[in-house]
Amino acid sequence: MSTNKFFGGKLASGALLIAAGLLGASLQAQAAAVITINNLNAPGEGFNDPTPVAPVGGNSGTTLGEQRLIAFTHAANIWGATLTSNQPIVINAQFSNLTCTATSATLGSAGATSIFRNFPNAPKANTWYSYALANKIAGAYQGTAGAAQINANFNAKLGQTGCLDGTFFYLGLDSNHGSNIDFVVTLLHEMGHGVGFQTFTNGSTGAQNGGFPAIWDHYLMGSATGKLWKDMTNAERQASALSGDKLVWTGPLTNAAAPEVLRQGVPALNVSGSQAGATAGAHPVGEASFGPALSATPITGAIMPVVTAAGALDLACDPLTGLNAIAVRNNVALVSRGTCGFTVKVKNLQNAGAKAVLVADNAAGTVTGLGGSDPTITIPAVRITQADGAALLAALGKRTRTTSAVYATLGLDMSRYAGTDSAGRLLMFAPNPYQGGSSVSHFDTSATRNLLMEPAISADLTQSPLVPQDLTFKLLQDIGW
Amino acid sequence: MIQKKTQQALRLASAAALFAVAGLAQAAGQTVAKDPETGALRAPTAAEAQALQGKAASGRLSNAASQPRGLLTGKINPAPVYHRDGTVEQELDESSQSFSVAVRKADGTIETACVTGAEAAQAIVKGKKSISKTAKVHAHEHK
Repeated sequence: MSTNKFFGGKLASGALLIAAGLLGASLQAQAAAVITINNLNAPGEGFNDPTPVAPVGGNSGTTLGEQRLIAFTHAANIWGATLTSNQPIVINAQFSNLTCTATSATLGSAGATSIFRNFPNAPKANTWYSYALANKIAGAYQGTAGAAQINANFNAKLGQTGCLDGTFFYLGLDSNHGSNIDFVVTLLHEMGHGVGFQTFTNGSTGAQNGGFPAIWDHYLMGSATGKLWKDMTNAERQASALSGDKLVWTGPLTNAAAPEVLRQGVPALNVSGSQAGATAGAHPVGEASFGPALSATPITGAIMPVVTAAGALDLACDPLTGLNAIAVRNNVALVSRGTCGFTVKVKNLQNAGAKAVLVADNAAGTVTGLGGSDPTITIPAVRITQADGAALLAALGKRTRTTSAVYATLGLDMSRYAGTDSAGRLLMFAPNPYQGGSSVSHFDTSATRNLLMEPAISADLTQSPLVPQDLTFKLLQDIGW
Repeated sequence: MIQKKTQQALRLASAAALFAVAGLAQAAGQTVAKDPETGALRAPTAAEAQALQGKAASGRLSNAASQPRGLLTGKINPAPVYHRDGTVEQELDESSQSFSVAVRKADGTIETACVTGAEAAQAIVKGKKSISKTAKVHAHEHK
C-alpha cells in the first residue's frame, strides 16, 4: 500500500515525494508545499508500463511508465513551488482505460477528494474548502491521516486504435507538443482544480453541496444583479451559470493583477448612423486568428451586406460579382457564417475591395472568434452574433448600391482588459446556451493572453500559474492559498 | 541520483498498490483489506479504497459500479462526517471531478474542453454534446 509519513521524519515506501521549491523563489509563493504522488497502478500498467520509448523534450525516461511519471512529477513540482502549506498534498494518481472513440477521448480527470467546513482557523463559517486548502489553513491534517487530497486519473489508451487514433499525450517537459496533447499543461490545469480552483455547488441545478456554499461562491458574482453566488437562490445560480458576460470574479488579488497579465483593449464594434435604429451602440465581437489585429485606432465605414437574390445574407464563399461586388467596395462587409472557411469568405471580400468584414453567426449563442490562417489576408474581420446580424440586415433595408447610413466603428476599447468586464473584474465562464458539464470554475475564454484555467487548453500556454504569465495563482490566493 | 531515487520510490509504490488491489475483498457490503505484513483483515486505507474504486468502475467487482462512489472510501453517496471539534468532512465522488476531453473535428483539428462530472465527459466523447462553444474558438473553429 501507499502511505506518507514525511512529517514524521520518514517517507514510507509507496509514495513519491516532491520536494517543492525547486523552481526558484517568487514573490507570489511565500514558501512551498510538499506534494506526494501515490502511484496506484499495478506492475506493467500506467506509470509502470515497461514499453521502451526514446527520451523526448527534456523527459529522460526510457519507458512509457517512467516518462509518464517524470511528466507528472514535473507538473507537481510546479504546483509545489507555487503553493504554500505546512501540510503535504497527496495525489492518488493512475492511468487507466477511460472512455474513447476513434475520434474522441476522455483525456483524464482530477479534483478534490473531499471538502471541509468549520475546521480550525476556517476564515468563513459554514463554507466548503477543498481538502488541500483546508489542511493548509488549519495547519493540520484534516480527516483520515494520510488520505489523499486529490484524485487524478488519466487515459492509458490515448492515441491507440479506437482512442483518438494517432493523437498521443506529449510527455516532453518543454510544451513542444505539435499535434499531440501536452500532458504537463493538461496536468497543471487538472491539478489546479484539485487544489481548489472549483466550486462545489452544482452549476446545472444551482444546488449547494449539503446546503452550504463553497469558498468559491463568496467571490463569484452575477454582475446583472450584483449578488454573490453564496447569496443566490438555486434558480438564480442556474440563470447566472449561463449569463454569458455577466458572471464575474470579485476576488481583489486577481482583479488587481489583471492589468499585469491581460491585454489592454477588448474588441469593440460600435454601430451608428441615421438608419442604425435599434442597432445603434456597442456590440460584442469575436476576434479572428488571421488578418491584422484590431487596434486602438478604429476602422470606420458604412456597413453593406452581401445578399442572395432573395435578400438574405449570403455566404461569400465564391468571388463576388455584380451588385455584391459593388456594394462592399471601400465598405465594411456583412456576410453570413457557413459552408466555407472564414478565411475563404474574408479573402473573397478583400479581393472585392472591402475594408473590414463582419461575419454573422449562423447559430444562436455567445459570440466567439474566427479560426483559420491565411497570411495574405490584410483586412480585419470579426464575428458577430446571429441576432446582431439579423438586426443589422434589417436596418440596412434602406441603402444605395454603394453605401448605407449604418456605420461600423471597429477597434479596441482601451478602457478594458481582455477577459474583464467594464469594472475590471475577471469574467468567468458562463456559456449561453448552457452546455452540460460546462463549468463556472473556469476563467472566460475572452481572456487574452490565454490563461491556464480556461475551459480549453490553449496551445500557447506557458507552464507558469503566476503573474505575469497567468492569474491562476492569484485567484487561489483570493480563496485562501 | 534524484531521478534514481524517484524511480525506486515509484517501483515500491506500484508494488504496494498492487498488493492493495489483490488483497481487497468484499463481504456483506463491507470492504476489507488484507494487511500485507500481518495478513490480518482490516479496514482499507485510502489508497486501497481508491484502487478498489478503480476495479469497481471497470465493472469487474461491483454490480453497482455505475453509481457515484466516494473517491476515498468507494462508498456509494458518501455521507458527511461530523468531527468532535465541529469540523464537517464531505467525501466527493466523480460528479465533482473535472474531466478533460478531446474531440477530433472534421478538418482534423483537435478541440479540448474541461467539463465537470463523468456524465458530461461521456456525453461529449460519445458525440451527444458539442464542445464547440467551450473551446478557445479562434484557435479551433475555422468555418
